[in-house]
Amino acid sequence: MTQLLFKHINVEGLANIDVYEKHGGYETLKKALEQKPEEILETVKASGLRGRGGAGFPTGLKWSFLAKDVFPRYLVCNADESEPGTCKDRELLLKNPHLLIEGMILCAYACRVEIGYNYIRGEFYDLCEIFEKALEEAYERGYLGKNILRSEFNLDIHTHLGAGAYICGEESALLNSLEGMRGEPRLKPPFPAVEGLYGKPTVVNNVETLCAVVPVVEGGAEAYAALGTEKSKGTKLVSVSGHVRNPGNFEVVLGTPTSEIIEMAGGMREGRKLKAFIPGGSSVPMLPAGKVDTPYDYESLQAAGSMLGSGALIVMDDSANVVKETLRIASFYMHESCGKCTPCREGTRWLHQILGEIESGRGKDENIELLQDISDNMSFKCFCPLGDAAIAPVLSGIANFREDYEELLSQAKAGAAAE
Amino acid sequence: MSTVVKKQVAVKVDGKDITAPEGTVILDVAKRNNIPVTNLCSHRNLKPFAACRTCMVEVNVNGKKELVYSCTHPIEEGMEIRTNTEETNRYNGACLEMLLVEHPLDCPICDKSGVCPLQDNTEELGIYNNRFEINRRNEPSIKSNPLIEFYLNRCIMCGMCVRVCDEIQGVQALDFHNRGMKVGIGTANDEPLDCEFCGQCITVCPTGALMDMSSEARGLAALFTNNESTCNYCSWGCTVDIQTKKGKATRIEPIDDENVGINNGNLCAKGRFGHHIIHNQDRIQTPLMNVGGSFKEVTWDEAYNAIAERLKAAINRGGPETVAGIASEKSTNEENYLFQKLFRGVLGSNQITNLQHLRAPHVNRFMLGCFQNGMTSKPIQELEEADVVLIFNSDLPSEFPVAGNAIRKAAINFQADIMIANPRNLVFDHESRNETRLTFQHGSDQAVANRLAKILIDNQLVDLDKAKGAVSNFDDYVSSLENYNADFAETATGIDDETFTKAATRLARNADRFFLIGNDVLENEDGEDVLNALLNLGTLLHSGGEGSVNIYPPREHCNSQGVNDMGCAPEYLPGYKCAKDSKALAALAETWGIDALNFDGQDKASDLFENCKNGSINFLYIAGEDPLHSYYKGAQVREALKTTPFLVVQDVFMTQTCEVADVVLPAASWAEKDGTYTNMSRHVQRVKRAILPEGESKPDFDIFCELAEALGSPFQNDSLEDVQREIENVAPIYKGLLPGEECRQWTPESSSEKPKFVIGGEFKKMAAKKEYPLSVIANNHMFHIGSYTRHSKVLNTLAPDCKAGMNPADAKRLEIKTGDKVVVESKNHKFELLVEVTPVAAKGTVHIPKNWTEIPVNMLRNGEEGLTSIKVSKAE
Ligand SMILES: Cc1cc2nc3c(=O)[nH]c(=O)nc-3n(C[C@H](O)[C@H](O)[C@H](O)COP(=O)(O)O)c2cc1C
Ligand code: SF4
Ligand code: SF4
Ligand code: SF4
Ligand code: SF4
Ligand code: FES
Repeated sequence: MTQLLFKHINVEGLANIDVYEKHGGYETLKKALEQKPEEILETVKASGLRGRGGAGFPTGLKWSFLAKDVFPRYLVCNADESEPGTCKDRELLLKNPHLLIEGMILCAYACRVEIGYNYIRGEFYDLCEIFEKALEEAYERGYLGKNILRSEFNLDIHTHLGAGAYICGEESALLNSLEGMRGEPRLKPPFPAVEGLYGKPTVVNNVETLCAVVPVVEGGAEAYAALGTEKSKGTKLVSVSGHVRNPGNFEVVLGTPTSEIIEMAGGMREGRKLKAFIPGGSSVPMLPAGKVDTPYDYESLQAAGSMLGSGALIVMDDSANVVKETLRIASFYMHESCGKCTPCREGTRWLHQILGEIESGRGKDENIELLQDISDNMSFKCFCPLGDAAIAPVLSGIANFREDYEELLSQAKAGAAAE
Repeated sequence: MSTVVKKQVAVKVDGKDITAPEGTVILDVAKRNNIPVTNLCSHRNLKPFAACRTCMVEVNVNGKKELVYSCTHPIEEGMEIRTNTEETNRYNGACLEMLLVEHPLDCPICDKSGVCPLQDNTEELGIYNNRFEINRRNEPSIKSNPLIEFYLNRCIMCGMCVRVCDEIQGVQALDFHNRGMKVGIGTANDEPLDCEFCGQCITVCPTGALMDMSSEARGLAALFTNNESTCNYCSWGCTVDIQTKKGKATRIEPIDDENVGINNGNLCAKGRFGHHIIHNQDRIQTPLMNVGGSFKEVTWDEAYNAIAERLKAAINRGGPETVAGIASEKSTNEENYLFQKLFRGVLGSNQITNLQHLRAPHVNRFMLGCFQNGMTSKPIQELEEADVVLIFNSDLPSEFPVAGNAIRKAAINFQADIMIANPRNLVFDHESRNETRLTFQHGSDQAVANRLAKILIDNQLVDLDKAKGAVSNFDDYVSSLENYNADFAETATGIDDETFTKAATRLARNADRFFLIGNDVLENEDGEDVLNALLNLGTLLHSGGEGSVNIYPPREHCNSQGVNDMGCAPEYLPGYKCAKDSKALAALAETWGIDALNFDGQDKASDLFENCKNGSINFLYIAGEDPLHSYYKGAQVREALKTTPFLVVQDVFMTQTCEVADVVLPAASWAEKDGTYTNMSRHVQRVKRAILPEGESKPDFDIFCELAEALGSPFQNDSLEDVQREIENVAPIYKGLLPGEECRQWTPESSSEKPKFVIGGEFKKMAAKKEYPLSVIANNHMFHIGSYTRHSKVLNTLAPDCKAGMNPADAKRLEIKTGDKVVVESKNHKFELLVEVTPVAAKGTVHIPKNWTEIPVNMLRNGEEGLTSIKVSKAE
């Protein structure tokens, strides 16, 4: 099993710089500084690495979009990890902060950035302390600061704790929050690479993406691209949760069948059968058990009607009722909508209210159509993708598990008749 | 915007061919072509927000169909746009439906009813039923500040209030609170509203969520009568809508339309909320005559007869030139025209002036000098498209708040270069990343302008050959600047040369430059030199640079420009014709139907109060000014008014000057008369009667006509229209501009003379005197202008006390803190007032508003030249 990010993850004390160095840490950086920034950028481009934060945008391409010759420019690491089901960045920050620092330095070098920020989810304050300790160590060893390893290259990294809003994981809301403004998404274009933090060109990347840059540069583009499928290169951390025996994070080569990943997590509970799974976090459509052999990669999951998203595989067995699960997710989105745009603010609320009515046996037949209509009024019509995320479980639940809805509705009818 | 020329793009909207500049968003294209597209969160003055999601249209590019939001989607060549399709209506309607579910829909008692975009869009999209459980919001109204009621049940979260406050007003007093369905509008950090009370938030709010508490009138717009008029406060000249109901002026709103007036829908606190001066218990109700030291109410006829009698007696005794008049910077053009006609044509006296001209006759010379040098200046609306704005010694947020709105728009649209040259640390927030601060030592204005010019020349930032060829005395100018080297300038102004060089470089670029000069440059005796230095700087850029130089003379009140245009100055006949020009005089006499205009060449008006004092004026008529309170030589005025045998004062309120008059005539307020004002950029704009005059008061226009009649020489033209024709006739610069409905700028006749630098006054460093180590900057308070706004109860609630602004370091040294009472003392006068410690006041200066009659700032100076030096100590 190829392990790139998790290779040493369980080594005792890996968060300490000595241990990290003993396992080859910062060697990649030393070699990289002998190359030109453009060469590193080329390597990342050629490796086929795609963003691990959710959208899967090719990383090297994103870096190359930075507005030419505009300085200062910034690097922002997105450590706001709040997508329900996702907990991979947390493990990296907890156990291997130096891998992230090394990845950030490589990215900064390739992108000619001299100031970096790590925007860390507010609830991760203990991880923030660990990360800050690691930063201190890296400064001491000359991996950060002025003239890194006696080169011309300078980089400072600062940390910033969020205040507890899911939307601040969306890159432009994150930048607003980092600037001290309200955590609300910005209008795009301009994209961050052109006008980002403080109006300057900015690279925003997920923790895992930045960590993956280290093995990409270490082993070279070809070696990395040799792993995975045509459009999905390398390995991916998958957070498996729900009705499995042994939930947790697993590093898999992209293209591994989803069923195998469920097996890694201990498989289904005794006497239970798989009913549904959400492959990429609460923001992507759920799939029925029949699609469990779909290779876990960007293109296959998309063809199957869902998405890889942030890599959070949520497993539901036959004890689950899809309406109940959808209601839980809907309450999350209602709570987390920033409230800026009408369809999301009002739509998430009505989805929640109507699902609640169905779930509690007060539903009406026309409610299903109403849910679909509200979703249609949100689909690609909200200001940012949160609204689209909110409808994914609703629409896919109705499409694949309509019987769960109908059962509750007929119970409601029976109840009403009995009264 | 001279520097960027945008490509035109051809599109089709609903089958109609349209071209528009590249980058324009679809909604703007539709709006400009009167194609209705629903929308609730877009405003022409604000950055796109794209939140309401009711503006969807269909676009087709190369056969590919897409549904997009018109407020943010730019047009592309060949794009076919369809509005109102089944799909767009359905989706736009869905958002509207959701907005209406919890909306109170209490339209009958809502201020927006009838002009409500929510109503309009509902009608447009035919949303008559609702599929959701109705749950009308019913939270109590928030009335925690004196002026703006927050009835947020009606809020639709368009964010316009928050955005206008930030982007256009630069204040950030409002913000969003919470998130999701709990989201709402509130004050920043939920603290008590602390803001400029411009009311812009009320204006842009598409619903009745924000309401104007200065008025109790509520409900359907159709119940109000709209009267488009021009604000009577500062000389920016905003168009206002005086709304009346049952014969009373109930409130003032702006007209939120870029094609109306010069203010693009913006107003300031004074203009919007200062309407209580109209119906006001302090107004003078009847003519008054001073009988044995106390005023007695008299009839108009009694008053006219007394005045006519005394006038004739005075003329018989000392000749016509012993009667003099002071015209008003707040009366209409027509009134001022009649006033000078009364003096020149009926009484035969050329002794007529106005207070700005009396203090600073060089302002008119400066303006004419700009014209002569080719700088005729664009309409001030184009300030919104400026590339470079130089705000020169103007306390802009108080002096011209609405100019600030236009500059902020230029900042948003063009990242305009904003230069602030001021002895204050002015608070002026905007969205431009290009700002230069030239914070100079009080009294060193001239050195600032001259240093900039010297850098332009020394660093050859402008084409010197071109300038030399265009201007007659270029070499003299260059040598006159010899002294202004970096060291000299830094010592004089306190500004380092890097800052000067940066500013000069930005001024030099190919750009549309706007110079806004504050009335503060007229405060000290070097005003003329400062204006000349700015005239020269402008001329240098105009003759040697690319782009345009737009430079406007400092003017304070609503008609400070017009009163001069109308010839209320001893040197000028209407239209700035020379008062000594016999041809012009003859033409005027002919128009007026009199034999000849023969003045005996005396000039008493140029030093009017002194001449009153020494007894050479027998009769003084002050038509709407309060020099006792506002003129910089307070004691001289007091003496003068005491000495003058007969004093007539005409005013709306019983001013200090009225108190010492022999006859007081009650004038109608601006809401009670028709005519025009001319603003600081020479836009002639209409003043419209909205209500009938209060009590027995009359418009000045009527008073002058009736007085002429009482004198036995009635004006032939005594209707507004006829007088306007007469003005157009005698002052050709006004031709075609009256009755002012179109808001057009008068343009000077082109000059045949070669441009010339005005070289003069050497720079003298002014310093506070030892014993009196601080200097006074007297300004209009943000919520007041002159003393008459103090009669507005609302503006008084906003600013009840006169406070001296002091720099923190000075305050600390004197152990003074905010809220302390202090004694301010000059050589001439002293008084007590409260202190506010503020970083806006530069070290060594004290800011004292000049609007409180009980705090006579003019008496501190009392005619002395140089800086007004004072000392400050804590009151016992
Ligand atoms: C509502 C919403 C929430 C998001 N939350 C996160 C998050 O918690 N962490 C993250 O890395 N990306 C998140 N993203 C994706 C980011 O916007 C962005 O695409 C990502 O940080 C880019 O990094 P990558 O290219 O390395 O994936 C979120 C996006 C949306 C629309
Ligand atoms: S879709 Fe709209 S309301 Fe929802 S989070 Fe995005 S911007 Fe905010
Ligand atoms: S804002 Fe006022 S007028 Fe408009 S719909 Fe609401 S209640 Fe009616
Ligand atoms: S009145 Fe003006 S300054 Fe005050 S909150 Fe409204 S927009 Fe802001
Ligand atoms: S108060 Fe008015 S302007 Fe402000 S968000 Fe609400 S509806 Fe919009
Ligand atoms: S006007 Fe376009 S989204 Fe509101």
